[in-house]
Amino acid sequence: MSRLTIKLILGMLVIISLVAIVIGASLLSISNTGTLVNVGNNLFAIVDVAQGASCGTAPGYSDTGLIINSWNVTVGSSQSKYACVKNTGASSDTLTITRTGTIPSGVSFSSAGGIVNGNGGTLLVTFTLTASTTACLSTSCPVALNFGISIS
Amino acid sequence: MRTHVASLLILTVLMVASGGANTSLIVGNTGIFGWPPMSWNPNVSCPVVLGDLRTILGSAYPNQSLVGSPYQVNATDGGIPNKRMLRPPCSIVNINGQIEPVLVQVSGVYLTSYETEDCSTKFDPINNGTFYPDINGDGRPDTFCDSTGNLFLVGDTNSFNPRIHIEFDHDWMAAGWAGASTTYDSNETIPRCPPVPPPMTNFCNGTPIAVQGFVFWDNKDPSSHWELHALTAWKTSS
Repeated sequence: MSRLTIKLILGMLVIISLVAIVIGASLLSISNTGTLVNVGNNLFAIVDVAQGASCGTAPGYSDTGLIINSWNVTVGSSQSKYACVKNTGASSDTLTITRTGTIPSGVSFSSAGGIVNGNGGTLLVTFTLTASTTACLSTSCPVALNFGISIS
Repeated sequence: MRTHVASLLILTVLMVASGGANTSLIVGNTGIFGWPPMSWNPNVSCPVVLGDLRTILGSAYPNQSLVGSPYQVNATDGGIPNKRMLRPPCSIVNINGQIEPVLVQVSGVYLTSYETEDCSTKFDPINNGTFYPDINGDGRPDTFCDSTGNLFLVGDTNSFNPRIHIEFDHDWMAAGWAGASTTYDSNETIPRCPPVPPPMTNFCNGTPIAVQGFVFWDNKDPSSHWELHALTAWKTSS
């Protein structure tokens, strides 16, 4: 087999491969919509920042090891904690904030989020625990708080 | 076949490209929840410590003993020196030489076997021994009586232990620091189980309360026991 023949065969293989890739990519663009959406939002946070913190210039954004360990809620009162959220994805995101795990009876969790723009947009979000005046009567107090917050 | 191989290749590329994207964050939270550690009785300025029956009642828990309690002072005494003191010390030095605050706060309990005892018309000698004031205007010193009962753990309705005795002290009521004239330590409105005939084992599912009081070991009764005497305040709500 001559060198020319080999080159022709290799060239055809390359062309066939490219065609296959184009076809495959078009198929995947339809069947993997969820994966593509993931690329749009990319969230990072700094937790337990001060109220009114300047999230746009705050350093230390991370997507792991996010812990607030300074909750100290007393009966009949509420306490708020704050976090900066950054979205490095291409799309803006309306944040959904939910509590996971359990908190003591009579204590409620609430949050204030909003829309965080893409391409590095930031947003200051608020987490609040509110304890009713009767929250600590049925059980021995104090009790440890240990729960999670999901931001998506 | 080649098409499938190529598709897999592209899929892998896309997955790698999107692998670093975080569509959700998880924030772990720890802390503490409870009552603010302060006296609810404005006449009591001692610091409040959070207590529980297991700690107070000593090594015999769920029964009670002087030995093993951090409030044991010596072989026969525990807690404050005199149960009727209007100005008890805020802390004692226990048998191990440790300083122990004695105004404790216990929550998650309910009150039963509530009754009236030990009436008097004058202050205890520890409080100068003078006659009580004539508040009702009948020309004689008023009479005040201790209001006593036992606290049980919420949910415990069929056992006589663990428990801790409480007393609204008559000297404290005569001084206006406890009793019906107060909002924070009324012996009339405190929720309790209805009275039942002896042996009083038919406990109700009582209203949960939180209480504050001075720890005292009463070794005068036939059966010595720990009590919160004086009971300085209670709460069902703020």
